[in-house]
Amino acid sequence: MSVQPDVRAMGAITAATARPALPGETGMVEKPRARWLPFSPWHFVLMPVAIIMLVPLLWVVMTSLETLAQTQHFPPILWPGSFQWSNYPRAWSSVPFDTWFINTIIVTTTVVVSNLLFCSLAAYGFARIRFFGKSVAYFFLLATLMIPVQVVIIPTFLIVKQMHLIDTLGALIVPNLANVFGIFLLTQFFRTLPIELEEAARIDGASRLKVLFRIVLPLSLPALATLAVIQFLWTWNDFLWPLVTIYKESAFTLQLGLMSFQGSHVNDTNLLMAGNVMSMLPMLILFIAAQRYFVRGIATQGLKG
Amino acid sequence: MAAVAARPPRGAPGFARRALTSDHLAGWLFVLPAVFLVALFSIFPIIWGFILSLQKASLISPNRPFVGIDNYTHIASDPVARQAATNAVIYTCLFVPTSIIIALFLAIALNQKIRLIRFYRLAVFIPVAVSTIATGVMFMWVFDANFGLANWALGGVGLGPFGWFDSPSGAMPSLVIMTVWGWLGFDAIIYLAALQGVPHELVEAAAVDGASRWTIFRNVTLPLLGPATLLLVVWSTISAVQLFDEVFFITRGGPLGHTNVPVFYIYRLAFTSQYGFSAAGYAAALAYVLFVVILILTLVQFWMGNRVVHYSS
Amino acid sequence: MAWMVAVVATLTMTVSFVDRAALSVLAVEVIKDLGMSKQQYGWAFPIDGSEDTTWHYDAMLWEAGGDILNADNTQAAFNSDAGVQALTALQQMAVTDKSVFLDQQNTGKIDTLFNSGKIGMHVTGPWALSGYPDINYGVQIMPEFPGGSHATIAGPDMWVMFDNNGHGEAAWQFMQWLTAAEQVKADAMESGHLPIRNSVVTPSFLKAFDQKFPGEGLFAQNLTNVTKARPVITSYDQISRIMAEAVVKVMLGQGDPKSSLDDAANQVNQVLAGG
Repeated sequence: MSVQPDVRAMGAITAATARPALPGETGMVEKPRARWLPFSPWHFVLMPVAIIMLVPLLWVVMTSLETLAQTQHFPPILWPGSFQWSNYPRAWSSVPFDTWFINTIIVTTTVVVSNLLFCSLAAYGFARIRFFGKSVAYFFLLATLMIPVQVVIIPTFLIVKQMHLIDTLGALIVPNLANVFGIFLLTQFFRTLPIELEEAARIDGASRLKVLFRIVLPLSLPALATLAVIQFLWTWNDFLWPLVTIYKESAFTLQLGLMSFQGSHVNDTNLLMAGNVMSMLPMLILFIAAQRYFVRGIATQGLKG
Repeated sequence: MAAVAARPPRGAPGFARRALTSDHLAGWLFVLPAVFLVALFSIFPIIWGFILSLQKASLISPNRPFVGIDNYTHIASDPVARQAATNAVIYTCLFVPTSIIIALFLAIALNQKIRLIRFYRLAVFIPVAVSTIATGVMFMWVFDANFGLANWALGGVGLGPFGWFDSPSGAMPSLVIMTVWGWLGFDAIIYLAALQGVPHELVEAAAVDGASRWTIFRNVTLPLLGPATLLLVVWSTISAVQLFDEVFFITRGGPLGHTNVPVFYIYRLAFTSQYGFSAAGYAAALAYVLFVVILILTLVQFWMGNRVVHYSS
Repeated sequence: MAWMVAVVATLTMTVSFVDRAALSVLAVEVIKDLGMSKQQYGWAFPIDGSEDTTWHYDAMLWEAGGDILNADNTQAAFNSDAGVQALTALQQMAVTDKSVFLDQQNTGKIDTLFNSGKIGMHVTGPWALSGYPDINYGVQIMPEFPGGSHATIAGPDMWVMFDNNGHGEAAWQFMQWLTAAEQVKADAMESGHLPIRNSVVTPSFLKAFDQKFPGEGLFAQNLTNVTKARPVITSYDQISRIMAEAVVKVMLGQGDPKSSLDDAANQVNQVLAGG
């Protein structure tokens, strides 16, 4: 069970505060650039802000390249003379980072793929097919977006325990196979596609399934990419659910592993920071590479009806 | 399931015949996997959670006797529950306005067409990708009382060393600072998208009429940011009330319970033995009360918001 | 696992610990002697509110002659004069003298600080000795309160046998074998665990044990001072939490020993009554 209070709420809120996003430029009046500065005065605001936001990250990286003695120096050493790149392999081998990475990758990819599949199927059904009980089902799905995590966590734990999945990766995968946010996102998106293409295909005798996979999905790549990266981020960073369902170290995800690493290495600050960087790196890279989709995914929740 | 749809002609007799057409079957077959999963892992638990709240329950034993509403009445006399509620209020009142107001300013700044804007946007957005635990490790180091950057920087301007997470009065503000850092980007993205959705014609018309930049912002842009603001207020509140990861990882509810928040208390009741082995039912009751509180808060915010927020047609 | 005080040997430790007051004075003296700045302490105490907090307090409670619960485990007994005396000693060192490093996270920082010479003394067990490679230190038993004893605390692990699968008899037999003197001795010599049977602690054993695990000999010898144990009841975790909260409160200067312990005793009594 992923802890995604933000998006569960957002889905419902979106429906309630629907306002179409109109294309437009900035919400401000643009004046010609002041000529007495070679650059915009906004840099005086944005540069410090950017520095403040990035300083913790940079500091972590710096610390990860220091020797232990340097980390215990006060005032803090901002730029170590030489970089201890060996901290990284040392941190990597001091705890089962490789196992934790693999576990997290397995769980996250499975959840993302299954969400893409099940949410597409369901979204197509809700968007394009009229069937008995559709609105009721859709309503109940949306209602679950309002359920906060703490209400379901105890019963879901018991369900997963009944399935004998505690302490296995299955406990992390099975409850997250289909996320309502994904259904919601894709349903909205499918509805915006022109229906003529699909109708033409159906008249030609194609089954609904074929229409979905051959026509609708290829046209929905942006929405699918958005769903994929957002789901990837949540599952990768999830903490509470793995915490209550996984207890043996060999089944830890990266977040649990990082917590355990902190516990055993709190005094090896340089190694700890190296481990921290390694755990953050995949999502940072993904975010930078797919920034567009993250931003779109977050923004559409707020604005699109 | 690859049947070609053949809708019955208009006026076809029999509800049964229509119900069995492949439309209804197809529809249900498409949505069934997802609906089943959601029903099993969201809808069913919420019902079972309510049942649990009426029992004296343990997560390890199948023996769960019913105790009626005892769990709910106990909440009123539980000082820890009261403490958790107080802390939730404090945290929410600090977190929500701070993150939203700063995010609004940031979004305005990030909306400028200047060089390096992509770098600035990335710098503001990127904390969103960092997990709560990684953020925790990061800030525990930055806020380290002996070797951390924060005390060093503050010492440089003459401010005394702070205890940050270790200080009873400073732990909560430290949590606020850390979580605001983590979520500013998210809020800013929403505001940025909203700002970019402000119709240029309105802004230009006002400028033509001679309005100053500030007046335009206050009377044109700001009202149009209403829906986004409402969304962020509601979302941030819900999110703030459910604070857990950082409390578990860093402060463990301390020092002295100053950061003991509802979901952390619920976790300890149900998943540890610190409050006995049969507190899961009480935890479920607390969870439900929290749920109702969130629901009421959300409805109130929407109601108030809808009276204030201006929707463009 | 007996508790001892590991001492920085660079100090001339000719004082044989006679009473808790001496420890307090010593802690302050340590600070003065080494000209310590704010970042160095005489002693350290974990205040994360976990069993570790209670554990450290229990030793002092017993040294003062007190008990955790009464004889039939129905009432709290730690708010006796002995308990107050023990907690007051802690309060004095932490709040008045400010000579104690209070560890909120309790994930090993105390060990690091001790290993880098920033803490003068540390109350811990034999498992920690391998964590101090960079410093010269000595090992000594706990001090006593006037009129008290050198009681210390040893906490064996809990072994649980389930009765729900029909193999109870076999489990019991296995348990008896596992705890027999021969196995206990073998385990001690192999792993460095302190033996859980007094019969194993003979002079020849001590010699071999200390030879293989330097420093642990004194710990094993001190087992004779293990006269009391924590109550083995299902509600112990709750009792531990309640006591820890009282100790933390006092050591952070937010409460006084008597009323904090009384309040904790009330809560414990409620728990014991099944509340």
